Amino acid sequence: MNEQKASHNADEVKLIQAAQKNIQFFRDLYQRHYKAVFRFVYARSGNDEDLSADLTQQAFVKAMLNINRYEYRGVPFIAWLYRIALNEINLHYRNSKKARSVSIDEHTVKLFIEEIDDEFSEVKLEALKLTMSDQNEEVVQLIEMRYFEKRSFKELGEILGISESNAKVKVHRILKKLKITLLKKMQLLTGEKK
Amino acid sequence: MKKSKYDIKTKPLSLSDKDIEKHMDFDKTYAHYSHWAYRKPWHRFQRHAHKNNRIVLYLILIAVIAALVLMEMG
Repeated sequence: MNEQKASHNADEVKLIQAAQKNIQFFRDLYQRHYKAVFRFVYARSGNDEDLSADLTQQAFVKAMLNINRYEYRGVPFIAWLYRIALNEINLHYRNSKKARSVSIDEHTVKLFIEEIDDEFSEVKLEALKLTMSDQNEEVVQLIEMRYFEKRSFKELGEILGISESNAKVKVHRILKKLKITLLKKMQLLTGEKK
Repeated sequence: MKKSKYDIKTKPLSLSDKDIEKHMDFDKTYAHYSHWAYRKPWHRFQRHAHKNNRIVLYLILIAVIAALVLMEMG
């Protein structure tokens, strides 16, 4: 498995070096990673296909313009692409002043709520929505990638440009804070219903 | 009511590989790249900086020699 991964990485490094010499060779990297980047953007753009296509294209253009600055340091190339795509998404929502979309499917949200507060209920889901809507971008990104997209701490670190241990610490602190806020929101919601 | 910063979707749609492949077009992306990369002669020069290094060195050398010649003549 590790050998397979190492050969995949070596292969990718060769493709990157080829693209740095002649940008036409970027085609291979594009074909290899397009679907993953598109899905990443699609989940954050309110499931808008055309907007996702535009933002993905913009992300690839930025990657091509900056490929000469890219240095391989053991981090997969896709993490660099995700980071560029994330910046493009943030830029788009900042300029358009619309609310950024966060996709959470029901199954993962149940698991997430169970992790921070034992049992799942509809009230808790509403409380979670309220809690999430107050958080800053970094908190939402970490929760989204860790719990709703099931990414490892290593991947999280690679995408956000922080170390694996730093990502772990941040997620742990966020969960702690989120639990308190979630309980408050729940009390508020149940109080309102009574 | 306070406006939410995020639009939270609990039932996100998912796309098949075929749906995504419809949008996959490297030539279009390359055209956009070219527009940005070569929009002015200076940007074109920057893109090929590694090829131009030798030319730049010769230009500097000629300028230095010319300056020295001018100083000697003056």
